[in-house]
Amino acid sequence: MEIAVCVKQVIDTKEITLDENNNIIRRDGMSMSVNPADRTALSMATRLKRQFGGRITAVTMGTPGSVSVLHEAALMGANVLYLVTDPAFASADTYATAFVLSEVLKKTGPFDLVLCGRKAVDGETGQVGPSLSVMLGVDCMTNLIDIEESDCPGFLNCTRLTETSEETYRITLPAVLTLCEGILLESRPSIAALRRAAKIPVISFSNQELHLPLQSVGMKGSWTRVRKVSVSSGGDRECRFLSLEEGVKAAAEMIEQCKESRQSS
Amino acid sequence: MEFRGYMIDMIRTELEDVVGVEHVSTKKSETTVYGVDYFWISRMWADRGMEPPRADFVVRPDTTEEVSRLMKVANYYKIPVHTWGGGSGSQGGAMPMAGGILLDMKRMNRLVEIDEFSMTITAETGMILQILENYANEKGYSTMHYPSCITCGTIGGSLAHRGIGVLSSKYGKIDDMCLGMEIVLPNGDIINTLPVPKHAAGPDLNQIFIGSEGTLGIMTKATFKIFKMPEVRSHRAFLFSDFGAGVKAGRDIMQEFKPSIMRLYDEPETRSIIKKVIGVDKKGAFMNITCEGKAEVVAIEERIMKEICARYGAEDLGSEWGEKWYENRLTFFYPGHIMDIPQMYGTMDTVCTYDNVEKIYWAMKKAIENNFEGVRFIAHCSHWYEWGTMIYDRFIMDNPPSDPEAAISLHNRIWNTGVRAAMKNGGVINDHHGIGLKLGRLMKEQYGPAMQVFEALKKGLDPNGIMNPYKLGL
Amino acid sequence: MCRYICPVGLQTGSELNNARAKALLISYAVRGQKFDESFAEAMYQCCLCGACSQDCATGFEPPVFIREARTEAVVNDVVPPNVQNVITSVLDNDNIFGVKAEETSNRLKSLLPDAKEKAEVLIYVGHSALCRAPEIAKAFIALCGKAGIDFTILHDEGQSGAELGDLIGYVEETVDKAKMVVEKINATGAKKVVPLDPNCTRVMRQEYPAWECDLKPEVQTATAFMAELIREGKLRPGKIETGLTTFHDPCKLSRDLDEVNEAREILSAMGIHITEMLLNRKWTKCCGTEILKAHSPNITELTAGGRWDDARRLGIRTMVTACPGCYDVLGEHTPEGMEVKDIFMMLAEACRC
Repeated sequence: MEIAVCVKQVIDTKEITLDENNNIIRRDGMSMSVNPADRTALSMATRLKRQFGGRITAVTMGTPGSVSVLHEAALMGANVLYLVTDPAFASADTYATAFVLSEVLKKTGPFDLVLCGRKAVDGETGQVGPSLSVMLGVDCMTNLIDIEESDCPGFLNCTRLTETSEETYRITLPAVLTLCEGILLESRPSIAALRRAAKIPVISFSNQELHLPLQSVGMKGSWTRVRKVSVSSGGDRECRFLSLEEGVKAAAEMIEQCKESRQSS
Repeated sequence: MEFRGYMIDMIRTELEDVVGVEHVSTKKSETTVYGVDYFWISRMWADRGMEPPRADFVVRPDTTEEVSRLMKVANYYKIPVHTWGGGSGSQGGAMPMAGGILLDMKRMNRLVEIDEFSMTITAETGMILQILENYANEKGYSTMHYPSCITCGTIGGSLAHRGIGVLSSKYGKIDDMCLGMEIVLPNGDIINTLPVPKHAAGPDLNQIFIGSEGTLGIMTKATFKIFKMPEVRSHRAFLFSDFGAGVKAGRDIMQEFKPSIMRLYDEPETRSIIKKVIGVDKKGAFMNITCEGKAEVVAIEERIMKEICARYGAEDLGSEWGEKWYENRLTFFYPGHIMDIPQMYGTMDTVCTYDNVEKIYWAMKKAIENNFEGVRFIAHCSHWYEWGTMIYDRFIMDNPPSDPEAAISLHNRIWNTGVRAAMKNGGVINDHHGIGLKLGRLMKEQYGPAMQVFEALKKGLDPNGIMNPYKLGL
Repeated sequence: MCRYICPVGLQTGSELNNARAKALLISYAVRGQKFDESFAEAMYQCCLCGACSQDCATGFEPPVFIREARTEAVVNDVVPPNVQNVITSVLDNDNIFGVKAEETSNRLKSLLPDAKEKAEVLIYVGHSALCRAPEIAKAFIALCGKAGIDFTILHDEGQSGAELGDLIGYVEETVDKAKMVVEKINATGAKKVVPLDPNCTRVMRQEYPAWECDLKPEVQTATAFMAELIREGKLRPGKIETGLTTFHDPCKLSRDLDEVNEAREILSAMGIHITEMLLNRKWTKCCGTEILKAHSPNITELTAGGRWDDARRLGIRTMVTACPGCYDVLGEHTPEGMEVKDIFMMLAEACRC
């Protein structure tokens, strides 16, 4: 089975500082590591490789410094490492990110399975996985906590976590699957695994190799822009018990207030 | 002199013959570690992954006799010799810029004697300063030499650059505390200075070697004063409206008695570092003063101190902030509080008579802040005399050039500007960090024709010029 | 600050032997310098005693990154030959001393031939005691018997992961060894496991949870175990006469396991007054450790000498230790006119076992 895993480098700290002007989280001087949900994706890929055989390709898009997540991916069982980096790709939103990743996957594929973490701890949008599936023209399932062999050949059984329950589905391959963080914690690497990982070369892709149109990548290719990143001020709650009539009246008033404030902002 | 073929191995045999095979090394790990000290350029260079200046041989002698024999070998082959204590110098004085031999003195770290009647302690110069203090503490005494490098600097290093500790206003600098030394001259001769530092037997031999930064010989043993632990050590803090008022108050206090600690911070440093480390959030010039000794004497001293400070309009902040300063005296140098790479920074400490203090402070501040964009200036006065005080002024640049050579160029120009501003107004190149590699080029400007005295000493004692080349301007 | 309290650096006088040098070497390796055998050698010339962490203002714990650097050394095949011999010994026979596994098993059997399969308390003897100071294990077992404890020992202890972890890092091989030990200990149904070696105690209490080794019994230090028995009246030690005596805190016990009082309680119960050395309790100056002694005995000769100097300056006659490793390392270099004693052997004497 050819498995691709998309991994993202995120800040490994509870103290985030913001660059007020650009609404970008400051990364200098911070300790970086693999996004937690992507770790699950890598662990799951390793488990599937053990079951089905095949190869794991780890891909990351980021600054040249994000090569460190590929080293960690190698330790966790990746056989091929791709670093996608180019100044033109910087400041991409989820759409532009998914676009570049999908082009790389198309160029280096075909893959039976693309695994991603369900969301990244810095952006928390959870959009890249589903966007990838659309761009690659394959099925998608998100929020998974388990993937298993199915009785039907060409299918996989997936257990999905919702707010209220766990649901099991069958999905055909090829597919994009996104995994929840915090499950399948991997064990320590062995000396042999460390030796093997040290020898895997990192293959770089810049736009010189990908030839993607400049207006489709980076900030230019982004459909959304971050207007503001701020620290949550916490909820201010005031609880009152209302009768049904009072409740309907209060709701109508609030809707008017929302309309007014949207008009004025 | 160039060594061809296997000549290096022949020399190695001679060195091993002196100290033993295991104490001569050319291992990459060793030459790496001995190629970085606390000099900003040396750390910046390492941080950018540049090749450090590597010695050809790292040698660790164990006795004065071994040092003597090593000098003879080095002189015969004309191999440069650089002396290393703790490698914590900020001026690059220990850096093996000329390759050759790097002599790590730390095997010579034995306590020789504590004489409780004469109140002296004698030790080998490779001993770390805190260990010397521990030995004194074991018997209930103290060396009263508390530099911020106390946990890594050695006796030899402190003597080599005329180091200072936080209690110097009462107990003096290291050059005041040292009674005498055993020294190995470049030709291998072992000499001793006189048993006492005060006499009428010619010029002061101690003071020729103290501050010579490894250019005139290698100190192997030294004797220092020890002091009784004070009955009372009382801390207090004051807030002056401005730096100038604080200087005047400090001067007046020094005419009446010697506090052990007196530190006056200018407004920018009060606003930034003092606020961050101690927590004092006030506008003005912060000053902490410590009086120590017998309780009855300290009570009088504190009364005088309060009167004088009040005379200059200072707000008495009580003992809390002074105590907090003392608790945190090393915290100022810890990560998160001290400047560090990637910033560019330097302490252009200078010392002068009272009439020049404010002149120099403003001249240096203007010279730095007006000529260099993105560089700020903070200062404090931390070591006082009857005739003047030292100014511990620092420049800080948050975003230095990323190219290492451009960074060095800018760094050196800032130093030239700041130090020249000090010298022009009656200050001296440096108060207690030394000259080393960093400031050697400014020595002739400082001394003028007097430089020939040092040059004559250098030529006479080290005719082959092997002792710590390129340092101290010699 | 590390340089004034590194027991190795203070004795060898080498700039390489302190945490700053090791951090600098790792920084350089990260910046492209080759991590060669000389770098690896520097990483192994360390007791991992944690004195540097105690006073490091950076927030780094040098033993953590030094262990990781050792893994790097193994992965890159640049481990110095003298260290490699010790690693091989552990991988083959579960101990650093080169004693065959069969032999260690025999020694355990002879310590307690009728060891029960199940008991409330499991005494984990450890290889330092087994191979280098079996009299400590005998004394401890005798004390347990005297106190009427329902205890047992394993006849095959395996490798706790303490020594292997310190030599090659916390990798799968180390965790696998630990898991085997956990299985054996759990099978005894014990509610409490008491290792004689503080290094084993530390690993069982602090690393096993991180390694997902599900050790069922509570882990108690040997000193706390005995102190408790004295408090409960199960052991009633008599008074022992000694000359001027000091206590050498084992580094893992006082720093990592945060325990300084229990040993002193035991000594006090025997009427022994302690003259403290300058560097005591959490500031204790490590003797050198068995692991360092196994591959670099020339260094531990110096570190042990340094600790004896601390005692000699005070006129000490007897140095008491609470770790079989300290007992062995210090014991091998005892100066004339001085002696090292193990706290449990003294307690056994005081309880007439």
